[in-house]
Amino acid sequence: MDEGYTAERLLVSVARKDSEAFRRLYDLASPKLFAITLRICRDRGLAEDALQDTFTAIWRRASAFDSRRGTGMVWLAAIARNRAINVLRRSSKDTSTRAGIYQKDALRLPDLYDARLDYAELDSFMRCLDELDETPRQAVLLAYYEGWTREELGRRLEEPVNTIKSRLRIGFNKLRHCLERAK
Amino acid sequence: MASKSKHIQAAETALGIEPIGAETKKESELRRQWERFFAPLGLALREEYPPQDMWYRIQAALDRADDQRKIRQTKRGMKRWRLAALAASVIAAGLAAFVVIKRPEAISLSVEKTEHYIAVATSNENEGALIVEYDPSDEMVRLRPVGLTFDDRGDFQIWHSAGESEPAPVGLLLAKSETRLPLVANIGDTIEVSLEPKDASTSKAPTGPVLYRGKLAAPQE
Repeated sequence: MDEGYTAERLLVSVARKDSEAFRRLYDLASPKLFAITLRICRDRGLAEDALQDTFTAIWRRASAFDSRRGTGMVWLAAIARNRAINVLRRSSKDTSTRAGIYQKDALRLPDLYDARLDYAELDSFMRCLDELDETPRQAVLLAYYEGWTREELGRRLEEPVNTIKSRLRIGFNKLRHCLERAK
Repeated sequence: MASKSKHIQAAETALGIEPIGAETKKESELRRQWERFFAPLGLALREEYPPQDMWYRIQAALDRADDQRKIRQTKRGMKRWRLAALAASVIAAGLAAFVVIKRPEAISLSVEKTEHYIAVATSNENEGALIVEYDPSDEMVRLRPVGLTFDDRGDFQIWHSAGESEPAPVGLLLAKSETRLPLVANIGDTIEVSLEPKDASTSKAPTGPVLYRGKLAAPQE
């Protein structure tokens, strides 16, 4: 892969329906996006369905990408997460199966692997996340990595749904203030 | 400056705790800001390589959706032409009435509504049923077989037809709880599943027996 091809540049070309740029974008981004769909779906078949949906959505909606609002990879990652959550929630997997998965490694943090990643951003996000109480901290990680709904979070964390809701609200406020301070 | 509650709503939709509904431009920007906050969690994951045929699956899905879109555009064009002709007739009749009795009537035209379509395709061969769900917003059809045995008899090929048109192949029904395929369809379109010889070309028309047949309809309110 030519390092000159960034996700941002390729997305601009994909928006013009440049199929070669689409292939290059696939080569560049699919391993990272598949990691995201796999992490959320926890099932290769579902993760593949979600990745297929992700790239068909990228082909159709690349013109909606605006580089002033964030990097190309952030935009792509958000699409992959949303598609994976949709696929997961439509699948027949029930929450007891997911609870079993949770027992093993739900809160395992990602491997710090990607040389292209801005570690300062990850570092400040993790420091701010650590400032939260345990329940909202776990809820954020479970919702991000496993696509849990508020009801599922309540069952798993053994808290009433309204308590989860209010703790998350307090957590989001703390997180925002912390991240804005860290900028 | 966005309010605290707007930020909370944006964080909830960015995390997927709340679905993304209709958003104002400001709400969408705020959600994207939260997506940027959360993004390092996903982008730090160790890369996983998708299967080698994934690129071809994506291309095939886009090609199928493109074909279906062209058919729908043609149908929409016909529908618009018919509506325009109807509207012209109504206006002409209205004007004529106005001239005669000097009392104009309001003309209202119905607008096509976007919704979720479903069909229960049944079998005459004691093969259970097939639940078909179609979402026009993402142009995907979802098929869930109930009581169907997947064995060595052959492949279950899915077909779509609109009105009197010949059935067009959509894809194969997979031996799993749900098969999802791109499709552009409308209310009243027919979904069929035929039993075809294994690995046979199915690009033209059904050659084996049609096991299931059902018409897409809007769910009852």
